[in-house]
Amino acid sequence: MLPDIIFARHYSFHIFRKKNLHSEKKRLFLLCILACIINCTNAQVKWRDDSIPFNKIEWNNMSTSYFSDDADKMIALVTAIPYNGIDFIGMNKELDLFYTSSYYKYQSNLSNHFQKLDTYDSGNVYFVTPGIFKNNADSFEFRILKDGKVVMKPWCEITQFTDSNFQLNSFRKFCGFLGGYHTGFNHFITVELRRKNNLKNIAESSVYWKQIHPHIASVYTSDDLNIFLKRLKSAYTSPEELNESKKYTEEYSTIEDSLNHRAKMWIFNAGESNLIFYLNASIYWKGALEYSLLKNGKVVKDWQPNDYDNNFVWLHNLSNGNYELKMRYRMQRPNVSTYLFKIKPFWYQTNAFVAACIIFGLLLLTLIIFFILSRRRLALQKTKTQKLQLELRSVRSQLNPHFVFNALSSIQSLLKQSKLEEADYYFTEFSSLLRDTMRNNEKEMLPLHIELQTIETYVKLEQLRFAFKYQIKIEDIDTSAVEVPSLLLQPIIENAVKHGISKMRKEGEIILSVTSKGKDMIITIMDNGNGFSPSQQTEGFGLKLTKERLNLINQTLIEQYIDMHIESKAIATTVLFTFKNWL
Amino acid sequence: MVSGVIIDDEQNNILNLQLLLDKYKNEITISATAMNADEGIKIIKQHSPDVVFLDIQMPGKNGFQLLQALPHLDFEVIFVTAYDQYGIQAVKFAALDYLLKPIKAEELQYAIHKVIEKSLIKKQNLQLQNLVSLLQQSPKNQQQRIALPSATETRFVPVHEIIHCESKNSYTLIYLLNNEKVLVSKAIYEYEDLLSDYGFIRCHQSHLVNRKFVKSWIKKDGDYLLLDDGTELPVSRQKKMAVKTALVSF
Repeated sequence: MLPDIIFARHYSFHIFRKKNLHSEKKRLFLLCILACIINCTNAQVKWRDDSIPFNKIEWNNMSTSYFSDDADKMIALVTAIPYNGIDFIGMNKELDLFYTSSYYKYQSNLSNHFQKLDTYDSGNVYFVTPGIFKNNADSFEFRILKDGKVVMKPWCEITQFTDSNFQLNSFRKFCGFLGGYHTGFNHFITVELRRKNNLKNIAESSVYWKQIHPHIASVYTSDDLNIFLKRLKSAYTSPEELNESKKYTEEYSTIEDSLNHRAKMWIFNAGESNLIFYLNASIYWKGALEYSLLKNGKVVKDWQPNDYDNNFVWLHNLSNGNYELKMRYRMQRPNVSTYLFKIKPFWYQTNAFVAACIIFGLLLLTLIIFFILSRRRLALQKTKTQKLQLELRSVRSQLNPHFVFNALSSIQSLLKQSKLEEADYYFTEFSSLLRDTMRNNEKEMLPLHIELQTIETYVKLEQLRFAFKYQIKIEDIDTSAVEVPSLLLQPIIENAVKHGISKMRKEGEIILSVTSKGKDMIITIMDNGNGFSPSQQTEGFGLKLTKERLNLINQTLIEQYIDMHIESKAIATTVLFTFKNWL
Repeated sequence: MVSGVIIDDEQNNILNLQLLLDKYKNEITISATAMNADEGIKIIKQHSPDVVFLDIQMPGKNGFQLLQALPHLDFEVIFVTAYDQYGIQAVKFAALDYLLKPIKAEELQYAIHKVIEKSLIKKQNLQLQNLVSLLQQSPKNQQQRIALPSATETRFVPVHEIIHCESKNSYTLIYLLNNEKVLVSKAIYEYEDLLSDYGFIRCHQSHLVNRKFVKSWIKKDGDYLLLDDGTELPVSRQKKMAVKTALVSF
């Protein structure tokens, strides 16, 4: 197989190259004049007559301009150019390609005599002359020109001949060897061969040192694997002939190609983990092409030889991201082609999705925290409420100590005065009040009837001390049925006695009235004392506690609430309770 | 003239009551006193009093156990107790009189007059017998009879025959199974207190209902309980939750 491939080399012959050469010539001409002006210093373009020993030449790695097996019958100039596992198929349109039996054979349209060839290797190009041997060498001469102008080697005879180790195609051994030469890229060397004293060249061969970059012809994704395999089977058929879909064949440009360094980026669908980059070059050795891969600016694969002995780079196991595929030919390492491509992320790989996830997560976290906090706050509030209720209960459970001991003192006084009936009355009423208070504070709600009984007992006792008048007026209310918060009114009455009428004695009057107004029940407690300012601090602990307790009770009520309003004037104080939706 | 005995575990209380009763010496005489239940049984058997002033809480046998130990309950009892602890519920259930310590003169007077009126006709004391049978039965049994004192008589009605009660100011109208209505001179909250252990629900400030007669819950411009006899009783907003809980929990 290998010989076939090697024999299959042929060289491109570009029309446009002529133009280039032409412009190069112009430039070089100017350069030469310049060189003459500055004291005929050597031109900076290097060239060398190689002196590698003949037997060190790797003839195996040479592509030749002729294959001809009958070349020995005629005199020919054969150019041997280093092959290095690469060839550039389909570039030359001037060469007429055909093959016989097992190898290719071609004839130049421009005849065998004049050849223009490219080399991509910075190394030597060798020239041999089948048909010229020691015995007829003295009738020929050759010279070497650089860039078609500068004579590097003037006309001279062929003095070297190949030895018995020589093996190149089917050329006969011991034929003439003109030597190996090289120059810099973008320059060319011309060898001219003629019969002595005959000005007409019988053969000419120009070799141009051409810079090349790897160039992608098409890209195959996993969907295109069938097409790709078809392509592999017929490597020398153009994509057009194979009717390839040109999905990714159009806009290939490298960073180096594009003027503004903003090459087009291919965008591949999410999940494309296999991509095959097909080069429009014929590569037969993995070492010929080198590539490196960067993902999101980081090197994933450093420079390495290609993985296949073919003209494609097959990338496996790709994930979403932005990639840079860099390629170069081993023989021209400074000439790097960089292609940009991108594999789209799946919807769940997109930044938006990740952001959404994070936001959702944060939201969930906030919600959980909020939930925990609110639960804790609720628990805290509950304990606070319970604490307050306990506090209220403990306050409710106690009669005002001031009142208790005043009452006991009154009884003592009556006993001392031997007013036994009065003392007995005072005493039993006091015990009733004590009993009611102890019993009733266990319940949050009480029948209004019982509440009023307790108030009456209290008032009776206070009457013994202060001798004021009191009235309880009830209109349209079933006091046995209606319930009110237990001991709600008692502190108000106490306040009325203490701050209101205690100093007025017999002129003092307390009126408690219970009335209805639609669905509301209204209880007013009015005294004709001097009153007090509602904002005053001295309004009493009892009043303040009642307000707090009402707040608490109102929180537990549904569609009902109790409003307390205090109106204090110079001649009377009224405390008005409105029990909304109570009846 | 009515004869009475006093049974109390404290000498001072006996003395106090004797002093208080001195005011009514033309109507009532105390023939004997006892300081515990066993002695009490003895003096009751000995003296056959018309009225017994009985302390409930005593060391050894209490007042109720004393009554249960007696073969004949042909006397009136005025219970005397310091605080409305356990037991007073049964006394209330039987609609018997009781005095709370320290005794109020006016309450004593009321009780004495009531007892004297009753004791004029010497007969088996049904209320007392009812109390004793109440104490023997397990609680929450709707077979138990509750005493319903009205202006003219005291009726003993099995709890399961009461459908519902309605507040009429300080009176309560009680609806019975035989379509009878009894107006009793006690407030509805007292019946709520007595009957809540028997499956009665206070569905509204004016209504107390026997759970077993509740047919369904109706919602139309508010909530109502439909009873077996077609009566609709309102459910107040505040009681709604409590009523629901009570309806399912018994």
